[in-house]
Amino acid sequence: MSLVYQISDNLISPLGFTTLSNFDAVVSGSTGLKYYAEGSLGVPEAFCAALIERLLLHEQCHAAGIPQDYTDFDKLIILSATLALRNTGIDSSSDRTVFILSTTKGNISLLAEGFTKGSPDKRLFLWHSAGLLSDFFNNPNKPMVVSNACISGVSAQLVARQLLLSGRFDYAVVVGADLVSKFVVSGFQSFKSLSQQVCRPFDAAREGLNIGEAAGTIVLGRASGVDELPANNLYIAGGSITNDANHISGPSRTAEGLYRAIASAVKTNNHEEPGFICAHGTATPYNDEMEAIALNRVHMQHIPVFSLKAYFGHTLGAAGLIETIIASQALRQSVIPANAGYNECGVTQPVAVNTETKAYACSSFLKTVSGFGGCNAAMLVKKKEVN
Amino acid sequence: MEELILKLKEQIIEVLNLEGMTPEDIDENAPLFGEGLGLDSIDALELIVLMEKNYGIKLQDANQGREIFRSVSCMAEYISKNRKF
Amino acid sequence: MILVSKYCVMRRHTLIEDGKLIFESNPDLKYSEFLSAVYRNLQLQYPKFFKMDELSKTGFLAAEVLLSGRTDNRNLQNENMPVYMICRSSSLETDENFELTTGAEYFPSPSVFVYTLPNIVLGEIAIKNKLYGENTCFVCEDFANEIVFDYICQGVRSACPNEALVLFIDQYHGVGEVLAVLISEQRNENDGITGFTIEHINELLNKH
Repeated sequence: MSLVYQISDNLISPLGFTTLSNFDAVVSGSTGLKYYAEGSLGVPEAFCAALIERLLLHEQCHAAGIPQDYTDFDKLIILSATLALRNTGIDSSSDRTVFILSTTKGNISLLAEGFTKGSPDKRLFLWHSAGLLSDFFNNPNKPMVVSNACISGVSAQLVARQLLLSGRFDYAVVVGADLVSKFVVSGFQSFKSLSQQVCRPFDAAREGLNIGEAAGTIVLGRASGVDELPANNLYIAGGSITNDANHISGPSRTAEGLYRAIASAVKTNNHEEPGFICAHGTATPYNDEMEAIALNRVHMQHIPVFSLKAYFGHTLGAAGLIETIIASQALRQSVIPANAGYNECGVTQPVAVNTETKAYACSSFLKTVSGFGGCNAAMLVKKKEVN
Repeated sequence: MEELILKLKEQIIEVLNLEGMTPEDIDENAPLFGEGLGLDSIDALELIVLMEKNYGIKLQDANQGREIFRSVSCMAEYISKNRKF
Repeated sequence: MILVSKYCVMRRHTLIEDGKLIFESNPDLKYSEFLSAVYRNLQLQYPKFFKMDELSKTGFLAAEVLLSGRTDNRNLQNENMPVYMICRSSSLETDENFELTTGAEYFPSPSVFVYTLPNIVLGEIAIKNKLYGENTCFVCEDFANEIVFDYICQGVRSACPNEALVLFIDQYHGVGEVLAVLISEQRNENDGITGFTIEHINELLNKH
């Protein structure tokens, strides 16, 4: 039976410009999050966020031949895709290759420079960024953007998976990114959902999330069966997108949407339990509680779980991708990262939060994400075992 | 206080988009959340903005708001004691 | 084949269902007033409508025309029905409105911020109609994106039952339009109004 597998990836964050440098940073317990005093980015209240060093970004983009007059967001997505595609041998200009962009706000920071109502800067349109991305690689397919709030990164992978399984394309380059901006920080501050310290997923003292910026790219391909894959290769074994049908910003108190997404994602894998769970774990009081409820409803409360938000912050449209990338690396290297920031259980139902980075061999993981609009997604990634 | 209560009702109707409601429709002693007007978590956050924007009162989080936003009367009482302008 | 079984178009001050004009307002009405007029015409009792931004109101009303009466009817309700949307301007007008709350007079509004994501339209529809299935928002330069059409068709084929709601929607500064279609997989082309293809979707849009 056909399946969709990971060919290569790239991760750009304050912790580095490659997947491996980011993974090493996570394993060594580093964080990209910093405290920003009142007035930073034009925001009156202090906040904690993870920002990519712009000088380094511009240097790398210049070296990659990316036009200097492109916005930081447009540069970032092209750079990430470039680095992911390097050495894959894939013809990115073929119509059998499709680019899919995952983002929530794209170039939204342009609004702060001033705007005229009714005459938008075309760079504000998300499809414009996707167009610059596919044009850079001379790709003839119409650019495609998945914008599904914080689940976009997983949504985009599942969309890519479906398009590959159907045979319409041979390769999908799924790129996700979002930047920290006054717009986004102000918005989450208005929700009183930010913490000024490094966030503490699932912890009793958690008080909110941090915003981070990042880009992640996963290049996916199709194989006719598991046998065709090289050992240690990872493939998407199942996935599901659902809705809570409850509230546009607060998660369902019964975790209805996430419960259904997880149940559906593992159904196609004979209900086999994943080895570990890379949770959404934003460290807001409500999200983490909801995830604990969902995991208990599917009887996965004993499976080691961690959130990566204390290393990267919440990277919105990039989150589903960069966290899949780190979890995938962990699966390949038989390691499980620590859920940084956790001391004491702060959710009403038990979950097996992994508190230290250590050796851990297993053959699959579950990635969960949830977002505004009541959307949820779960995706099962499996490793081809060595016989 | 009556004047403040009336003004507050008008402001609440406006910021919470309570279409078709007039101040007469709001009982100042009825609960704002749960029954009564049945406001939700986003409404509570907008009331926090209203307190700061119109009266200079800065609340830290929705929990602090729980007591204050019990009813329009409660809000008016808190505002009259703590308003900056 | 994937066919359109029901559709609704709302644009230029008219509301059309399956080719029939069901409501028309004074063309001088502002778009926001037109939306309220449609709400009243449909005799909805849903106060949350007035908290939505214009993009969400647009999508919500179109879905209401197609789905009303289904939620509480066990024979018709399809709680796992996928809902897709394709839009061009994302939530740009609401983004601008939110930006204005973070200016020199800095009072960022949470009720505006929550609508600075286009997929909230799908959330509002899911809440009203108790839909728990897939909800995916695509942002494209125009509706004629074959890849998205392909994806949606595959989605319908693997859904159970083989049915989906699709919104072709856009709204920005006083101009809003939506074509909402219920699509399903059928054996016989006479079992639907028209085929779910870019060509036919454009026809439905241009007809009205």
